[in-house]
Amino acid sequence: MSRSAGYAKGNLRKKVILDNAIELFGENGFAATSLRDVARQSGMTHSGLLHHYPSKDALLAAVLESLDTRAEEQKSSTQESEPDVGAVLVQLMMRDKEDPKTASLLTKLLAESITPLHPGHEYFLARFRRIHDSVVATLVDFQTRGEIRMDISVDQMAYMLGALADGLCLRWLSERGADGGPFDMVEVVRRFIGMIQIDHGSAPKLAFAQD
Amino acid sequence: MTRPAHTAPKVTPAAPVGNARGRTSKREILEAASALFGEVGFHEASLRDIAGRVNMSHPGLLHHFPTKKALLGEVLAYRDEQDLAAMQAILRSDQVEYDYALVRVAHWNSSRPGVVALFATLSAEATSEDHPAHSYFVERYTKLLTDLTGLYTGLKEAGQLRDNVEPQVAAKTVLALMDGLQIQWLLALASNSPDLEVDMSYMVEQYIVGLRK
Repeated sequence: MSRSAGYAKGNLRKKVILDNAIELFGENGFAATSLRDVARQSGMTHSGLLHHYPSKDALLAAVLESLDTRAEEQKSSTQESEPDVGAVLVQLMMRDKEDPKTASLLTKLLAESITPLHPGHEYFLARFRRIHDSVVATLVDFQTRGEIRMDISVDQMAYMLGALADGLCLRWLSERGADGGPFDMVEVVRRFIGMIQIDHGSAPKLAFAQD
Repeated sequence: MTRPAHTAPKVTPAAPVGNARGRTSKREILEAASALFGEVGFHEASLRDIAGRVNMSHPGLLHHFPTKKALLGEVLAYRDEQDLAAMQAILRSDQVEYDYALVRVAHWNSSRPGVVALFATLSAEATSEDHPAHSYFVERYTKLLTDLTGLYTGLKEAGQLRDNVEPQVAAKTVLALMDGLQIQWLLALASNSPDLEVDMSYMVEQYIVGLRK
C-alpha cells in the first residue's frame, strides 16, 4: 500500500470510530460507554482502536472537536442569508440540534458535564459562554436596527433562549416515536422570539424591564 | 438537606458490614442513592457504592432493594412524594396559580442542588427509550404539560393572557425554560462561575408574568 493510501485508510477508520462514538455516547452517555463498545461497533479490536485514540478522553476530545468543526462549516455556509432576527437566532440556537444523533449527544454530555470532574465540563462551560455571547451580540444588533424591543435585558433574554433551546431539545428527544409524534422545536423557538420583537399591537409583553 | 453534587465525598472502598447504629433507615438509603444518581447517573451508579455511602454491606442493601432498577423507582417515588407535598402546601397556603407554584418549587430547589442534579441527570439519560426511567419522565412531563396547558387555557378564556399567547405553546416554553435553566445553573454552580449563575425562579417568574395581560 502506498503511503498516501495508508493515510486515507487511517482517516477513514478514524471517521468510522468518531461516528460510532457520537452514536454510542449519544445513546448511553460518555461514562457508560466503553472504548470496547466503540471498537465492537466499529468492527475493530480494542487495541486497533487504541492505535487511533489512545484513551476515552482523547476520543471525547475528538468528538467535541468534530462538533465544533461541523458548526463552523454550517455557520459559514448559512451566514448572511437571512437578516430576520428569528432566523438568525434559530440558526444560532438550533443548528446543532436538527440531527437527532448530535442532539442526543449534546443533551446527554451536557447533563453529565455538570460535575467539574467530567472531561467535558470545561468544553460545555466554554460552549455555554460562547453561545450566550453570540446571542447577546445578535440581540443588541437587532435592537440597534429597531427590530427588538428596547425594554428587554438582552443578557436575561439570552440566558432564557439558551435554556429554552436545551429544554426543548430534551423533550423533543424524549418524545420522538411517541404517539403524538415529535413537536416542532424551531416553531416553538420562533414563537418565543416573536414575543420580543417590536410590538405591532398584539405582541405579548415580557417583563424584562431594564432599570 | 442533600449534599451538592460537586462536594460529595468519594465512596469509601470496602464498605463495612452492618452499621454502627445497627440499622440504616430506608430514608438514608434513598437519600444516598438520590445523591449518587444525581452525580453519575443511573448507568454509572452501582449498588455497591450506594451501600458504601450508608455503611451497609452490599447484600444488606440487596435485602431492601433487590435491583438497581427497583431502587431507582423508589428514589423517584420518594422525590415525587416530597415535591407533591410541597406543591400542595404552596397551592393551599399561598392561594397561587399552578405556574406560580412551580416557580416557588424552583426557588426551593435552588437550595438543594443535589435534587436538581438528580432530575437533570436522569431526565437527560432517560430520553433514550430503553432507559428504566423513560416512561416515568414522559408521564411526569405529560402531567405537567396538561396541568399548565389547562391553567393557560382557562386564563385565555378569561381574557387574562396576552393576545398572541397560545396556551400550549406557553406551557411548553415554561417547562422547557425550567429544564434548561436547571442545567445552566448546575453547570455554573459546579464550575464556581458566579457570573453565569442564573436565578432560575426569578427568570421563570418574569416570563410567566409576561404571558399575562
